[in-house]
Amino acid sequence: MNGRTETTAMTDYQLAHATFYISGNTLEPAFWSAYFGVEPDMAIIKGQPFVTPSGRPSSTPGRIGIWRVGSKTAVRSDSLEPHLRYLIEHLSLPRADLRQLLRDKGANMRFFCYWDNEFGDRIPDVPADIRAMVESMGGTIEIDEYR
Amino acid sequence: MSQSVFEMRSVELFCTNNPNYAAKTLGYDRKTFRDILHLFKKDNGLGPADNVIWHDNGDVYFQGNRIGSFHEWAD
Repeated sequence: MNGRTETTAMTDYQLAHATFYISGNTLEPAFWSAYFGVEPDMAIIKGQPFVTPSGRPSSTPGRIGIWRVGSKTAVRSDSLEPHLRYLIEHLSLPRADLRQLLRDKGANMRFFCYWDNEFGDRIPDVPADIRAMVESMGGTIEIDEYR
Repeated sequence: MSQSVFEMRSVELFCTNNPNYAAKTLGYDRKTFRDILHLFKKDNGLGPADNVIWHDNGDVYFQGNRIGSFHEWAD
């Protein structure tokens, strides 16, 4: 499975997408880029100025250190599963040492999922194997639902 | 006349924790607003259940502290 589906019409707006996200007060983005062998979509160092995704400088310094990479531009689907599986493949998850590494670095890991449910008739599709795998690495899956 | 308008304005400063109301007041359609809010939460370390307060100039407050300007995350 390549993690890509075509369920959305030719529009930029998707009803679902996911972001793999590591955060921490002492997070060093370069460490995580090297660990995963992936450049993040966004990296923020706590207390440092940064540029928002729109290209504007933030008027406040980073509240917390962040390293994140998302599925939005790589996957076209209104369901979560293809987005989650894309990220799992892209980041070569699971990784046996990640849970301990997160502890050692004082960092948190989560999949932060966008879920448009304007009409209240959609149920987030997070397969049990993905949920179990994320939990085994000490992470969480969070659904950011919009009605 | 201008002074009385200013006074009225200062009394009616807008702030809300209602996303739909904030979207309308800040000039975004609902889908655009959701996209921006999701990004804003991500880059400010907020979770799905964290409630923020919007002011009418776009400033966003969380737990009493200004954490950024919503417009800075808009395309």
